[in-house]
Amino acid sequence: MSRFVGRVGGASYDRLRVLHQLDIAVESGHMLVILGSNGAGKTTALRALAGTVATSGRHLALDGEDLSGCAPWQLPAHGVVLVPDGARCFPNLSVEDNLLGAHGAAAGRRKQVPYGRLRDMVCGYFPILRDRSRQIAGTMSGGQRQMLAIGRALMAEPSALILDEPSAGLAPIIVEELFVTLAKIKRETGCAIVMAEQNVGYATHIADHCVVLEEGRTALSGPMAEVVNHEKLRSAYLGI
Amino acid sequence: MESTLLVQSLLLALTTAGLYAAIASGLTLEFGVTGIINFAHGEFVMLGAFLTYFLYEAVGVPPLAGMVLSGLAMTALSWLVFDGFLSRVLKQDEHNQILATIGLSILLINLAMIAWTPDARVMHAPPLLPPLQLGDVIVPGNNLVVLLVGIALYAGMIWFMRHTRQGLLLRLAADDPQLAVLAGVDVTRMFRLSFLIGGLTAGVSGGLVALILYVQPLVGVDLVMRAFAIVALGGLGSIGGALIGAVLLSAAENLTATFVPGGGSWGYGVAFVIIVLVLVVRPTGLFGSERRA
Repeated sequence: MSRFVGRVGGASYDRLRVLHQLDIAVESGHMLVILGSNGAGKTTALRALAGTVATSGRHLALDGEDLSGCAPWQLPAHGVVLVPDGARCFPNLSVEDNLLGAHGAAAGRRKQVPYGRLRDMVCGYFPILRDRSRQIAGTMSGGQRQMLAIGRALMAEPSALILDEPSAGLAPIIVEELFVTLAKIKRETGCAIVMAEQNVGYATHIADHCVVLEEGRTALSGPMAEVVNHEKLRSAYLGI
Repeated sequence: MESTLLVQSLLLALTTAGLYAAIASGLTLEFGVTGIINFAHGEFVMLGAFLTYFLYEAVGVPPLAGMVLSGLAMTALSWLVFDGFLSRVLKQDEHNQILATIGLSILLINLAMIAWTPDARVMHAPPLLPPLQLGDVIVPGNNLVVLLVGIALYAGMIWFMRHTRQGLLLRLAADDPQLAVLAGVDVTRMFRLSFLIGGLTAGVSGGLVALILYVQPLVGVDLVMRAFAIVALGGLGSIGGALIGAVLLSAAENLTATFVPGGGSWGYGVAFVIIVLVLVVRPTGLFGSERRA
């Protein structure tokens, strides 16, 4: 049973403070969704967790191991992977090389599962990646690239998977498919998932916990069911 | 007679193309990964040429061994230059990077002039291979060595990029450095690695220069200008395009020198004509495509 804990605070762009403080804790096999409107500080919070945005304070721990001192590039080898927004892939590389590269880059002190087995697992979740293995990633559709982005993260055998708005820009039917797969990944791999989302509707079905960010502050947090059933909170923060 | 001259000219062009491809692919690798255009790349070739020359003339080290030693020495120098100097301008804007590498280039040229005078020298080593005679056409042995070693360097680099883990990580860093960091790549290390490989190939190429050209402080300038033309032809950042670019440039240059009256002094100018033409007609290079960002 692993547990991912993160705390970031005080991130600013120039003098504009976009994030005051965010505390999160997720058990393995659970998903925490960070909700909030555009500009609420979701992306900044996730980047701050990964360490690619400077903050006045950052604390990160997985299974009690303190990862606060890790440089961003060291996190995947320690089992923490951020999938950035925009379905980003290595655009001029093939799907296969994207996956192989992610496997190679995450090699660290841990004993790695061999590439072939991980790829088969990833292609089990996203069969399109097997069919398109030789295709250049940048020529795929947004939905396919998002699947590749998540598949790439899985090649690092994450214990904590951090997703930044995976549904952004995707057709509703693709989003639904993607979230069903995410729920499956959560259940089967047992990794802890932190996901920023604007897409409240789908997220509420698969998340276990919820944090609502408002102007860089935590406006609300708690078990998903509680938040969803709280009439006042629903209308105030979730708009559903 | 005319056709013999043509074949002779093209064969010689092919041998120098090996050298050009090795120099250009190092340059394009460094650019592709770090985004820095290394104007001092030619000076690493020049230093490699002097080192191979002196190792032979002063100490009696055979040129092939000298080449390897030059490659290692330039790898070490690249390490010093990258960590001590270039890594500090990586995050600055392009103008600063260009000025930094041009400054380094001028510094190295002038140090070479002070140390060894601007005089051109010839390495008096016996040819490493017997000449190749094909009918009326003769290819000198050293030119064959240049072709073989140049192609070996080039092919080695391609193999490294395609078939090793470090090569794959280099490609990740070249494609999207920020995403590479998130995937777990130590991008600064990859930047350094690209310069180490660039330095290694430049040093060995320097040894090739000593085999077939005059060794003098400005030899790198001539070569790096040709390398720029080749890289422009093949597509910036594309190692695959470098070989084709090298063959085309080398052929154009040799044919001009052979068949245009007074063309000997025009050969080098062809490189610049090619740069200008490519920039005007097809800025992504003949074989390059618009890269997806």
